Amino acid sequence: MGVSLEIPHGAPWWESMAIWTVPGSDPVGPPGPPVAGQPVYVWAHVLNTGTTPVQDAVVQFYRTPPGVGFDRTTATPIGSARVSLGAADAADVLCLTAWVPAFTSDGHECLIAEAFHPSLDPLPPGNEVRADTDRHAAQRNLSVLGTTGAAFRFPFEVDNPLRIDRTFTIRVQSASAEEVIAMAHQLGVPPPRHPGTLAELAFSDQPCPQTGTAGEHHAIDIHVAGHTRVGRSLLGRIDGDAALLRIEQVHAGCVVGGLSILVVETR
Amino acid sequence: MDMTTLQIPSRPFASEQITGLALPDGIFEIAFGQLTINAHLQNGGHATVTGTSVYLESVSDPGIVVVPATQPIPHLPPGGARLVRWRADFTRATPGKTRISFVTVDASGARTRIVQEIFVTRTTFDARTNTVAMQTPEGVLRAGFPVLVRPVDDGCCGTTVAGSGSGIGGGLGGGGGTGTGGGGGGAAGYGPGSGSSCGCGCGCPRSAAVTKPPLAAFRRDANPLPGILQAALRGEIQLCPTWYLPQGIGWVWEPTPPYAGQYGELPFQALWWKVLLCVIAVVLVLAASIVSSGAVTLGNGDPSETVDVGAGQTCCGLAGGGTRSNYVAAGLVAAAAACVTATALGGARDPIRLGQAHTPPGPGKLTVAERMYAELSFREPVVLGKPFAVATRWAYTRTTTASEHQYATHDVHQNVHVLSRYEVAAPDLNHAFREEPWICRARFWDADGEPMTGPELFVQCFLIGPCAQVIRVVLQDDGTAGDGTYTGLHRFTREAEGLWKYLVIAQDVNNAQSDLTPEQAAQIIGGIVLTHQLTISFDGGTCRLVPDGYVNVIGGLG
Repeated sequence: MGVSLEIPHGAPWWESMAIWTVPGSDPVGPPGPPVAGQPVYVWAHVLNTGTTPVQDAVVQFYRTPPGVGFDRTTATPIGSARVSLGAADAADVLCLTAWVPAFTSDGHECLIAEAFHPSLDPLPPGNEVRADTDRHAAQRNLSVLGTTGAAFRFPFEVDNPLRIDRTFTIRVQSASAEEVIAMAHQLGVPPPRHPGTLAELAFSDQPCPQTGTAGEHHAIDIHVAGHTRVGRSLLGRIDGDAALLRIEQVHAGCVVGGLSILVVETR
Repeated sequence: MDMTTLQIPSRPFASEQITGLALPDGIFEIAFGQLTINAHLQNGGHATVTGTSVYLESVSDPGIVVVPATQPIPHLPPGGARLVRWRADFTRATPGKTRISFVTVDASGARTRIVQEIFVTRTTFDARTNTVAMQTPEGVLRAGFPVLVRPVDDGCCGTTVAGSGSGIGGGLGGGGGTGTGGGGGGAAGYGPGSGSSCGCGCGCPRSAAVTKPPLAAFRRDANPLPGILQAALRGEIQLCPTWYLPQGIGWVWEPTPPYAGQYGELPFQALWWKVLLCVIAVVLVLAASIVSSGAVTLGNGDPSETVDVGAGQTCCGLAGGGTRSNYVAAGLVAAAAACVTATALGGARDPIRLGQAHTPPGPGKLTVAERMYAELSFREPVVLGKPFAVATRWAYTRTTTASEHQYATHDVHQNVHVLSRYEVAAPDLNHAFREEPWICRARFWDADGEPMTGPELFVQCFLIGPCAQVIRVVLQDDGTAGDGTYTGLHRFTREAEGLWKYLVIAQDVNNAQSDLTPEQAAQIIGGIVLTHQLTISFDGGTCRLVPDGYVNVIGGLG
């Protein structure tokens, strides 16, 4: 096997811990979640699992507003970097192009990184980012959402980058208490004393809803025309002082996109 | 080996690809489009570094496109430094401070990341006033040279013979591929084939004659400077500077935003304003070498509106001697213009700073513009790398939201970018048919007689062939010799047969450390030529352009 570049996926795949951010003006400072209005740098951990060294492989970074279902044409490029790796080697790669998260997104961003070499290990053709199956690409679609009183609201987008209309099922699931604790640890969030789950949930098509429609089994169907996106908001309440929610975008029985939210009681 | 010992001790610097010379203070000027990023990687530890490589990881400005290259550092003794280089396209860059990250990988695979800043400017041409405007984060500098020192004969023939180039070097980005094992060879690259000045009797291949394009050919561009400068990269145009030195300099600094108080921010928080003028001088000398603008000289206006455009002194010319090395010569002339600008506006403090010191604004008033005009007079020939003097009479006007405040004075400064001596040693015969390496060595001593070493200098050997080919070879002092010997290697091809001359040109490097205050850092200026090949005198005739030696290349057994 020659050059085989990889950015490790998460479990589920959109929770890759091989992509992380560093807020502030020092790109080599401590990792942390993006802060609205402050510059943010993004890093990726890149592996060459092949038997051939590679020089100056490309690592490209993208971001999107919180949502599911984007591709390279709908994501916003952040910047790129290069990395040289030996056989069975790995390195942390810094993208020096900072971006400033918008206040309106409150620092919530979805990140994509992909590593490839144009001739020795190219990307698959097309614009689709297969962060679920393609080793070149990984996705960190993970937000930390502070809440007081256990109630939360979270707007997100459902993207349909294909030219045909599609109907997606958007469903929300709670992770286990063990996963909540593990995620809090990985994100540097103080460990919850009472990890909980989703108690109530409703969907709304308003960005700042007061009320919403409860979906059956925490799921709704959304029709999205080709090359467009629609916005939805989650409106809900958790029990305990933290919960990890996973929003899945399902089409034809397959999970085609995903977004996780660690809801943390901050009071 | 402790990888943390590898450092880049000073700000990476730019060299432009028309002449190959570093730009004043290493500023990355977008108008050049294609630039080379140069950085000295130094071993600050106590053990020799072996089997290391370095690559450029990322640039904070996504508009800068770097040609990727991972470069080997096979051997670097303690204290030694290696110049590493990358070509980059700055056409779509944004002016400002830009960060660059470099990653070194040692023999065990351990990595060290070094993040450094570079300074990027964008100069645009204002056809209405025949001036230029240079954009920086802290303000815009509008400048022009309304009075110029021109050669009696600019030597422009209008025809050219494009040299084919010769030899093999480790091209840019592949530095180290031609190491001597001693001093360490440098990257070699082809310069544009320099044109025969006035005919060529050597049987060289001839290409279609290309006259200097008229300025009007670039007027369709909103900013014609990039198009003009990039036209020279094709190597088809004979570069013949129409002016050599500034004699009247007008400039206006427009701080963004207007500032309160007596003193404004320095450009990039680290540079005197005169450094920007040095870069502008290089840009305009080269641009005026490329286009034919008739009675108009590019950048000949005065944004300070102090004087009318007028004739200055005349000086010697370069073409009278039939030099073919016009790209090298034009580079040296541009370097002289930069050096004279830095000297004339010299001293510990920049004239704008001095003007600010003498013109306190009223309370609560904002300074919206600062106008300067400087008139230079030359008392002796300008010899690069030697302490020639320039007398300057200058006037400063501060414009505030309420009134104007003026200050004027005159002073005399000497060029401080000097060498007390330097030595170049290289074989005068090369058997190219045996693939014999040609090794050039040079040593340099500063004004105090101390040897200069490693990252203090950017040294290149310019080989000029019998058919006007130009080959550039970087000389490195990686510390192996331990005495400041800069070494470069070149292998001529058989087709390179004939008599070549060579010039070893050294430029100083801004070695300001990050812990200096802005005013301390501003007093250090790099990118000025220190070697003495060019003398510009003011008595007409031919300028002295003295090569450092000749090498006869034997291509075959005959």
